[in-house]
Amino acid sequence: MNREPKRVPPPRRAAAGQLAALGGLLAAVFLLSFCLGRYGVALDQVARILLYRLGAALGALLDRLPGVELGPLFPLEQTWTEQMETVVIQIRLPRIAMACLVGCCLSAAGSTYQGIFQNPMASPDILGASSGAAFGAALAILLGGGSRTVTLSAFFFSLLTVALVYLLGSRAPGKRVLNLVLAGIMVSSLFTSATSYIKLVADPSNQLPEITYWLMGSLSATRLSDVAYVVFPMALGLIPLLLLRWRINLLTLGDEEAKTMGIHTNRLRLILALCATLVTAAAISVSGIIGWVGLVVPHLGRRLVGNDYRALMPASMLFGASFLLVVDNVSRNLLATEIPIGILTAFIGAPFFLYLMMRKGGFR
Amino acid sequence: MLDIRDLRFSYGRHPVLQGVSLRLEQGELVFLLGANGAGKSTLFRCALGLLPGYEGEISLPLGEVRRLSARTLAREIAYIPQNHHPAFSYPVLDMVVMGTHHQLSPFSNPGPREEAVAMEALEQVGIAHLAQRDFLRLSGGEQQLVLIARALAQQAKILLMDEPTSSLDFGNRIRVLDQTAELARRGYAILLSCHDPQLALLYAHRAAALHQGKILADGPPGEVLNEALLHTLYQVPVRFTPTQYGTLLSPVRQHHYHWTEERVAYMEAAAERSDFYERIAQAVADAVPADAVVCDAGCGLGFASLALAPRFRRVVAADRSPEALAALRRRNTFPNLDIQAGDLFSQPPAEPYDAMLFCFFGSAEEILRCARQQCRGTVVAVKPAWTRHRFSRSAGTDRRHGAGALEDLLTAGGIPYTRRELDLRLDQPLRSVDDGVRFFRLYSRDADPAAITEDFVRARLEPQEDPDYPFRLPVERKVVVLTFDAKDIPQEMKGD
Repeated sequence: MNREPKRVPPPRRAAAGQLAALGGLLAAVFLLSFCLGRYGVALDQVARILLYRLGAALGALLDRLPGVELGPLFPLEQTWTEQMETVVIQIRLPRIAMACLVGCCLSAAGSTYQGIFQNPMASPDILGASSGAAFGAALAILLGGGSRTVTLSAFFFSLLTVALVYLLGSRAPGKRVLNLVLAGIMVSSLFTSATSYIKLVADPSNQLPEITYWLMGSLSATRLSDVAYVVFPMALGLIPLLLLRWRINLLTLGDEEAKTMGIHTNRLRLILALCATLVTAAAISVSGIIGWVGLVVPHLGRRLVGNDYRALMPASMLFGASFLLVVDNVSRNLLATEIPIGILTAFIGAPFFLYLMMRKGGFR
Repeated sequence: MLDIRDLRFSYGRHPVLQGVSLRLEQGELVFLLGANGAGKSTLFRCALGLLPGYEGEISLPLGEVRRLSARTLAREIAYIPQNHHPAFSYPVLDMVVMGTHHQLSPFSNPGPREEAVAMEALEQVGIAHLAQRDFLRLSGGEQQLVLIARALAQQAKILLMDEPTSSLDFGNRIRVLDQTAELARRGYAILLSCHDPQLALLYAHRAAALHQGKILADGPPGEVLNEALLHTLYQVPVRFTPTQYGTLLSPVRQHHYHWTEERVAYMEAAAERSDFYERIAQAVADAVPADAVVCDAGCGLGFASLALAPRFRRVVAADRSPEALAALRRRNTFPNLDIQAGDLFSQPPAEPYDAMLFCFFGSAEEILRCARQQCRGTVVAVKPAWTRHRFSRSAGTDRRHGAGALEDLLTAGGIPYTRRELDLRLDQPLRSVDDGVRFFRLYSRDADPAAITEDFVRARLEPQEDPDYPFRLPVERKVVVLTFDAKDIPQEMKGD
């Protein structure tokens, strides 16, 4: 047919606008988060410090090239105190960055699982990632490991659990998706009871509180080096998720239909599950168990940009990052002592989910 | 374009397809007919490459289905599933764009080119205006058209449609099929499974009938579809009526008489005290020699069979109702009376019967079809001579098939027959007036049987000298007996 190129249909343009708005929201929350805390720093100082340090870091990087001698890229006049810089860069930046990363990963994983299992109630723990991580962390704490050991143990047990679930689920005869979900529930409960047993035998004076605290989720101990460690596995998972996101649409139609359109459903689902699990494991191993984000944020995303994963995946990532950052700000500022973030997400998540349920029109 | 040769497939030990051969050419619209579970969906899934474990060959222009990758298959053959509810809903355009997947490189997303393809597909089926609507909020017919558009966006030339009309209303069914026929005209090869043979008559270039894993018939629907084929496929009678608008296909309501305990008791009481069945058996004996094997088709409680048994070499009493046959077994003392349960049509005898009695049996067409299939001698049909229902307050007509239709059909088929009228009675003995009220309410066809009063019943009863049954409801049962020879029934009856 010879016609002038079809105009871009309105929803797609609207989705682009909403994504830009979500990006703006994240940037605003990100900057404002630096100002919050017992030691107040003004917004303009935050901007200057960040800009200066960014310039310095980039400059130092470029200086390594032979024959380049730039120094800091943005030689701003130092109007801030040493203490301000320490608070912003050493204390708040790691935590804020980690909150963004964890929120982004959990939401991306949640929306991926919902798609590949054609199940709006799926969340990142559907294949047992969090119960595995919990067991790994509890075990490491029981055996007296340090914080790095706990993180690593949580990460590997999380991957191990999902691998086990996938192996069982895809070997069983019958409907594969259903088998995977059932295997996830079974293996999860197995690890959960193992974790309970560890809590029972753990030393109640120091180990038990540590386990309990880990299970409630917290970002309070985050250091800059932690961020550097998790960024790699997270990126390794998030990038394929972004690249393959449109194909999740086809998987939601069911395997037979997707196959007739040329999709290798089992292969695609395996790749997507692998990536989603990787980012979930990476996030949980540094943050502890943070529920609800992976379930609620994708639904908010669906409400905002629709079910098309081309828009939904980035929307979930951006909104997840903002959401967890806001919740973490509440967690560290609401009371004099920190409220574990895992408690707060459920506090905010559960009523929100009920609202979604009762709202006119129901779930989309 | 699509060539299926000797396709065999089993789920485990259960064979589904047992040597199916079917060809589909460019521009052809072929309807695949068959009962639920006949293997239509399995055939589709094999052709789509979803069940690679088949035997035989399925050839597409680019090669054998098993040897093609999912991506290549998607370029050759598109699937239009039954209307369904996906877990998540998408705008129509996004839904249709998904059809372009196999044209994209592994990591790229559809762009303006693919969207243009999708828009064009929507325009082809006439629903471009729905592009921005939400798929799940469309009507069933519109959803079906969207799925068709998605298959068009896939740009495959072979379309497999799985019961596209099954969940649609009367109008949408026609709209979707009109659109489908138009696609065939434009060169698509379309194989469509359907549960309505009437639609096949209306739209198909060819109709293929799948039965127990085999193709029973394949050809122009006007030639291959007939009463016998549809009866084999669906196990129900269907009437074909040629009209100026084409052949009209109408299902025939199956009359199942349900023998409750109460009805059995009333009937037994009446039949044991009447010569009704003796006289009918005598009418058969007048026309049939005593060494014959006689079938009492639709025997009910079997009183006619019991009367026939002493008069003939062997009698087969056949009925669908297990309750009625249980009552007959209780009463039967004749060693030469065989009782056969189930549908008569599906249980032809090893040797045709020498004679058959159809006493208050179904329609004229059914009698002739059954007699032609299972009898080599005399056929005796007993039909009611009354037309009004006698146990109702209102003057309703008796819905049972009268003698007229059978006489018309015999005359039309040039079958010689003799006609006799018998003045019979089958009085109903009753234990009390209350018993009479119960009887009337049980058999009444009135809208409100409760309105039948004691006075209404009492006025109709006669007293009699019987300690168990002091009352009697006189019932005249004048019947028409038609006798003819099964050998005279032509193989191809009008309307077959």
